[in-house]
Amino acid sequence: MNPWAVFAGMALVTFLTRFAMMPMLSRELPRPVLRYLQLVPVAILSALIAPAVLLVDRHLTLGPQIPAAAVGAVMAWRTRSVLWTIVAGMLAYWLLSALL
Amino acid sequence: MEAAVSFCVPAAEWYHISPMSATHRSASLARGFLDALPLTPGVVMFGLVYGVAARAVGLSPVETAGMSAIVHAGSSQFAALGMWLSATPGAIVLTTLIINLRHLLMGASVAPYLRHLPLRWKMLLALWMSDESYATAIAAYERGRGSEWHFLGANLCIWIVWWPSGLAGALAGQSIPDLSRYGLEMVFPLAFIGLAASFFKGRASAVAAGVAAVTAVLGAVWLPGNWHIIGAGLLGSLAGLAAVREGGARS
Repeated sequence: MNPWAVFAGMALVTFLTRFAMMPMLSRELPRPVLRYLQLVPVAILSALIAPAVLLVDRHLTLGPQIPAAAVGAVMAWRTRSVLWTIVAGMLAYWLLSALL
Repeated sequence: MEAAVSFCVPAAEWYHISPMSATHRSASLARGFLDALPLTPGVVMFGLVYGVAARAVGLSPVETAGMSAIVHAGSSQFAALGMWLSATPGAIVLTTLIINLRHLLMGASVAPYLRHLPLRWKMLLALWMSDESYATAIAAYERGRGSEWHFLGANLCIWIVWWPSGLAGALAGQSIPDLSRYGLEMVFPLAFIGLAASFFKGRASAVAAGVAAVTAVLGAVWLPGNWHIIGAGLLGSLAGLAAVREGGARS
C-alpha cells in the first residue's frame, strides 16, 4: 500500500474529529449547554492526568509519580504557572526516585 | 417566548470574547507559542519514541516525519504503526478515527469561543489542534487572555516540535538512550496539572474533575484505546452540572 494515501486518510478523519463541532456550535447556545461545555475542559484534563499519574501500562502502580504530582498540584494552585508546576513536580519526582 | 429568550444568554457574556487590534495579533500568537512551550519536552520524548517505532515497521525517515506533519495525532500514529504490517488501510484509518473521537468533545468545548470567527479560521485551528495546544488555548480563554491567534500560536508550537522529533527519532534509530529512565513522561501530567488550575472555580468544577479522574482511571484499565478520555469527559462534566443544579436547588 502507498503509505502517503494512508496518511492522507488518517489526516482527513483526524481533521474531521477536530473540526466537526466547531461550526455546529456557532449559534447562541442554551445556558445549560454552555454551563456543560464550560465543565468539559477540567473533566478532560483530569481524564488525561489521572491515568498518567496512577497507571503504568494500564495497571494501578504506586510510586514516586504520585507524590510528585501532588507537589505539582500544590505549585499549580499557588502559582498558576505551568512552568513552575513542571519544575517543582520533576524535582520532587527525581528526589523521590533517588530516595526510594 | 420570553422564557425561551431568557433561557439563552449571549455567549460573549460567558466566554469573554473581545475583538483584537492588529498590533495585538502577533503578540498573542507569540504568547500562545510560549504558553505551549513548557509542554514540549513530553512531545519531544514521545516523538523520538515514535520515530524509532516507525523505522522498526519499515517507514523511511521522510515518511515517518510526513505522517507526523500531516496527521499530527500521536496516539493514533502509534496505533497505526502497531497495525502497519498486518492491517488494511481502511482498518488503520478507522482506528485513527476512533482514537481521535475525543477531539469532538474538545472541539465542542472550545466552539463557543470561536463562534465569531469565519469558517476558514475554524478549519485552520482544527487542523493542528492537539491535546496539548487545546489545553493551553482553553486555559488562556478561561483566564480572559485567549484568542484565535493565541490558539494558533499554541498549535504551531506543538506541531513544529512534533514532526521534527519524529524525524530525529527515525534518523537516530536505536542509538537513542532510554529517556524513560529520566522520568520525562511525568512532564505531560504535570503540564496538564498546571493548566487545570485555571479551571477550578467552585464545587461544580471540583466534582467534574473528581468524577472524570475516577472514570478515566477505571476506563483506562478496562476499556481499549482512548475511550476513557471521552467517557470521563462526558461523565465528569455531567456530574459537575448535576452538582450545580443540586446546590442551586438547596440554596
